[in-house]
Amino acid sequence: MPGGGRPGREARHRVTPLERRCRLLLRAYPRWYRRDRAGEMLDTLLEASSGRRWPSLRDALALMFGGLRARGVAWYLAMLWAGAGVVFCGTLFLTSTQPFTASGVDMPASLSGLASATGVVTGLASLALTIPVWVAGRFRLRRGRLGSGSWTGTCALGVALMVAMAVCGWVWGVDAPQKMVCSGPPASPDCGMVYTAGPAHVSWIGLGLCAAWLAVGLGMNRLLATPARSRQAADSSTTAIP
Amino acid sequence: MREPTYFVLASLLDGPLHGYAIIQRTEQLSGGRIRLATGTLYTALDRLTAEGLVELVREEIVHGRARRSYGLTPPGAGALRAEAARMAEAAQLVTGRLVTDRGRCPGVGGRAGKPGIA
Repeated sequence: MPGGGRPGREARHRVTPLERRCRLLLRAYPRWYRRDRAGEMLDTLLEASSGRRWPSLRDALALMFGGLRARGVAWYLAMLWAGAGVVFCGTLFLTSTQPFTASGVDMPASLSGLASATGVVTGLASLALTIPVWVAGRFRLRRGRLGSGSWTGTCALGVALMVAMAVCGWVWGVDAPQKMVCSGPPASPDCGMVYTAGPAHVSWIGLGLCAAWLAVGLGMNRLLATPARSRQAADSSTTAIP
Repeated sequence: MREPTYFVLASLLDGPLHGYAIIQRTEQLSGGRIRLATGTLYTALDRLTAEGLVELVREEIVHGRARRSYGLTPPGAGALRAEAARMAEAAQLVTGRLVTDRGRCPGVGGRAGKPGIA
């Protein structure tokens, strides 16, 4: 019923590079929104960008912002949460995988400082966002037919991953074998931890956690891929409010 | 009511318009001050439709794509008129006083003593 043109008809008219770029920008909006609106928005965007090779920066930013609004606060928070988890585990993976960390050579101080700063920031971010993410998701899905239970389950999985991250990142010191090496006298400031793993050590734990966080993010995206309750109600009830 | 909203509603006074026509008419009415981006326009239309101030009037297929025209609803026209009256009243408050004060030097300026005290 929605005017989403049949593929045959779409294929017959030639797609210009500008139209391709506009379509790409419209992907900032969730699928349920695009199903209803993409056609007319593309029409408007193409007219607004006529004579140009690319849509204007203003249009691009407004579309991205509009897409975030349509997806809702819950989606935004959830993606930040899962994103922080992915970045955290990514740092874990990079700092304990050869050849990123050459065998027997310590990481340059600046790089290791950056890695630990990223780890702290993303670790704290995921910790701080846990409750808001859960609450926002519950609020958004509260009258949905499915999702409330799955939402809590996905949040619990994220929390379990955070515990795993904490254990791997801070207690074990990642899964790369390290030893203390001193260039000066023992226990002097010249001492540092040096990775002693072989030339092809891969931090499977870091990789696994990264993948698990990605899965959590995708799952949350999927669970939230419905219009918010108010909009759903407005769409389904064709009888107008007096 | 925010200014872009006011001009979007005002652009529909002469009849229903489709997306890009609203952008053009809004820019024209505001003297080039308000240039709506596509994303901003549809966010506003979503909100105004949900509030019942604007409605989908017709849908036609142009270049194989849906083109929808939006029009003012009676409550939308009412809200626009109320906002215009409110703004005229607020403007009158200043313009009227500026005219009557012209010539009187200290006049209402008696209030100007206030910052000195503080």
